[in-house]
Amino acid sequence: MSTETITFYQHILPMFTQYDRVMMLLRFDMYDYETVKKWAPRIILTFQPSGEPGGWSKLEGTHVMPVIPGPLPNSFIQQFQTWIDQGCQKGTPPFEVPTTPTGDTLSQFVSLSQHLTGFDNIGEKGNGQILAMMYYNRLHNESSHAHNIDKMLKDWSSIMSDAEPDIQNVIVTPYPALVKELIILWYTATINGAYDAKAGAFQYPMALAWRAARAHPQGWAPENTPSYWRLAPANGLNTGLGQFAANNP
Amino acid sequence: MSNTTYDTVIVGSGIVGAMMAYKLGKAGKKVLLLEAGPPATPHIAMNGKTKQAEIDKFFAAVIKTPGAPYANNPNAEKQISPGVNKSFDGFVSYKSPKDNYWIQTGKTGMDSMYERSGGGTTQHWLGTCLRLLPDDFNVVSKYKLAPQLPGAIDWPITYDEMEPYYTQSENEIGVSGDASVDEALGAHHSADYPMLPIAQSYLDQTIGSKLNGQVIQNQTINVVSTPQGRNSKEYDKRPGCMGNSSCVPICPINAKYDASVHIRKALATGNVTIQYRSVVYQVTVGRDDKVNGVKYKQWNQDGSAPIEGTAIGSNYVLATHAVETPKILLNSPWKDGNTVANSSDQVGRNLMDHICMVTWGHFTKSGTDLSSDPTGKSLSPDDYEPLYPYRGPLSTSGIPAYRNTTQRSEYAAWRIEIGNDGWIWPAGAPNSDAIYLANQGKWGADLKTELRQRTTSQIRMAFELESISCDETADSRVTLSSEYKDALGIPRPQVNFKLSNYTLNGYLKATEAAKEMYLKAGITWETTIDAGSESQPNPGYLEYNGEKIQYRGAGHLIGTNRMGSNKADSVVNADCQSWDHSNLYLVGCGVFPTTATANPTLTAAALALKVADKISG
Repeated sequence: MSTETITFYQHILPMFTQYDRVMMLLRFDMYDYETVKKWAPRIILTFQPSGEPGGWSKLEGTHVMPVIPGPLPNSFIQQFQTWIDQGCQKGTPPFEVPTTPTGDTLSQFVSLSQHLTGFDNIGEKGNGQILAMMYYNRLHNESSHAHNIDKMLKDWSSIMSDAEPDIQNVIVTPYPALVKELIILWYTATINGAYDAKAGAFQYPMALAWRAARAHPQGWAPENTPSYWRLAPANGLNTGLGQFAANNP
Repeated sequence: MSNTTYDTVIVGSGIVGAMMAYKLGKAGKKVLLLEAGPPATPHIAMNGKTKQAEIDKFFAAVIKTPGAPYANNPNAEKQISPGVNKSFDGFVSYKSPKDNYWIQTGKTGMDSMYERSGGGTTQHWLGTCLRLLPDDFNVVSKYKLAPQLPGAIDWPITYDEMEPYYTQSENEIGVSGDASVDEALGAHHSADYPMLPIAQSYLDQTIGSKLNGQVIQNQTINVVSTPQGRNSKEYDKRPGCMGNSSCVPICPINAKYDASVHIRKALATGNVTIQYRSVVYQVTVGRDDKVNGVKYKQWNQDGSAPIEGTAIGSNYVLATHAVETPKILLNSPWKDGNTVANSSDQVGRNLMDHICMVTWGHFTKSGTDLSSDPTGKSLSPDDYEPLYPYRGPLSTSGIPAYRNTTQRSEYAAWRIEIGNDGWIWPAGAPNSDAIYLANQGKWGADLKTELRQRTTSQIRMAFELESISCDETADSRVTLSSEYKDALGIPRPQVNFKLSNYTLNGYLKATEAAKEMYLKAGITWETTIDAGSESQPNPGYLEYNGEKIQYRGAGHLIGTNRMGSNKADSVVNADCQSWDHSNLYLVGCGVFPTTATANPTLTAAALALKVADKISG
């Protein structure tokens, strides 16, 4: 019998589809390792029929998952069980979550980004905060004006507590090229036209240009308002992102 | 590889090959399905990854063209959007042999592309499922076009003969639509579509409220729902559309049909074998003029030497679309100086597309006067009015008013596709707008507000023009390159694209109609014509009758082995059967002698089902 190590990123995540993820997103994110590990014993119950009529699973009150296109192959359920038995190993994610910057550097970068983009809640929580750290690092690694970043943040720190910080004269006019790159990075997830080599697919759905358009990134529309496109956006709904727009960035 | 003789050998696992394999397999026939490329990602996560890898590839693609998510293997190389490089992150000349799969030699270029992997081009298609109209099948005789278009022929089949197969294919694909639209155009439906229409977008409704009832070039405008191979509710164990707006190139949730559905169903009959990575390069014919084999090279992922093989059947189907089919046939010697199936000398000729006049602009507030300034140069974004594009399927409505009018006795008909995709296609919006504003030094709330005003008011409409094969298009052709071969040593296609004056005259008339439409709808005319540069010429740019034209491809490759009533001037008969070889069928868009104004996939699928019936008797 093979005792291959089953990992979340290499074996479990590839079993899930974007549709699975979207259908569960109001409850939890199936693409998140910690979440799936935490709920694994209940999740596996949902894969298996209870034997009662009506398509119910072994988890009370829940149908067999996924409802569309239908139950997973037995080999997948077995694999999921093995994963649980082996302690829910993580495996190798497609990109490393950054651990820097932190503290003042991060909070200054986030608040400056909020002012420069006009989006006042980006970069603060969850994936949004990860994005902010990634963008700070990308500007350092990919911008030809990287040498100005920390000086710009220092200048920002000197005015950021003002009632009406003079961003035009203290930031935009002295650092025009870097400001443009920062804005374009938040709005398009690209710098010099390029996506991040490893985390491009993670960053793209959080690009702000789509939110400015009151829409959603192509290929990512988790909102579950039926035929949302027949209505004008209103109260944050009918955009394709809907209630999920606030989650990140 | 094996010594089995199959009932039918089908080459190509796109919608035509997959549907035929399914239908024949269901009828108890033993079928071998040969696919040049690798498998499509299965819908159900069977033995490995789901579509997520392709979705991620799309998300991170710098140039998001139709082919971006999908494999491009040198052994089964595909034609990418002309002008885009093979890593989808830069631009090249569409004419350069080292940067493109095709070698293009025409004065202008064929601006369309296809996939070579399981499921074929339906992986990236939009999903539009329009039927041809009854008059489309005999446009040449109905509009007395013989003097103007010598060499043009009518279809040897009628709408009534096709109708039951249209209905069948709509059920197989899962088409959501409103049959009353076709009924109003004279195209009767014997049964309703299997699903109710996809909702028309807010943009459609708003534009409709401006344009419905307006008379332009003698036709009354009506904005109508588009039938599409996209679930409006759960169907065939696939969910209803959730408006991911990435139909081209990839539906992340499989609400859009793609032919891997029928590959799976074909295999489930127990009578179909599919063999991937098997590139057919030649058809062999015996002394009795019947096909006695198709030769292929089966390549491997690990780069080891390809294995040669021959597949044998009682019947053979080439379902390899309109460029690869003539490539295979022209590479197949026969007799008397002819290559296989080519006694008519029509194989590879009459390559056609629906050339698209893409137009775009900003919707403006009611009362804005555009008559003295149609391009809206004097306006500011404060004058724009939202339509809220970038939401829902990429197109949910069209204007059919010009599909079948008396104009066809002089110039080409067109269908208007209304896009929900803002200025993605012509300009790379919304990124292009964000970059433009940032580069102007704008920032913060000012930038966000203006970006919002610009993007929410964007609209594009594509005018898709018909082509009719005739002597003028005989030189629009696919031949074999004498110089360039692919990684397997097979000659690459040489494409010499050419348009007839009939179509180009239609383009000019469509431009006038479009400008009038924009004015009446309150949309600024911001369409520009761009020749490109010396190093990157635009494939669709030309000067005609003193006018500058820039067409784009619709992704429709048509006409290179046209069907007809006469073996002297056509390649196949009404059953898509070669006039020259009774056990050879060429099925797909290549058989269309005219393009009319419907996206071709539904008609190709209907023909697939019709020919499968013929073959299984």
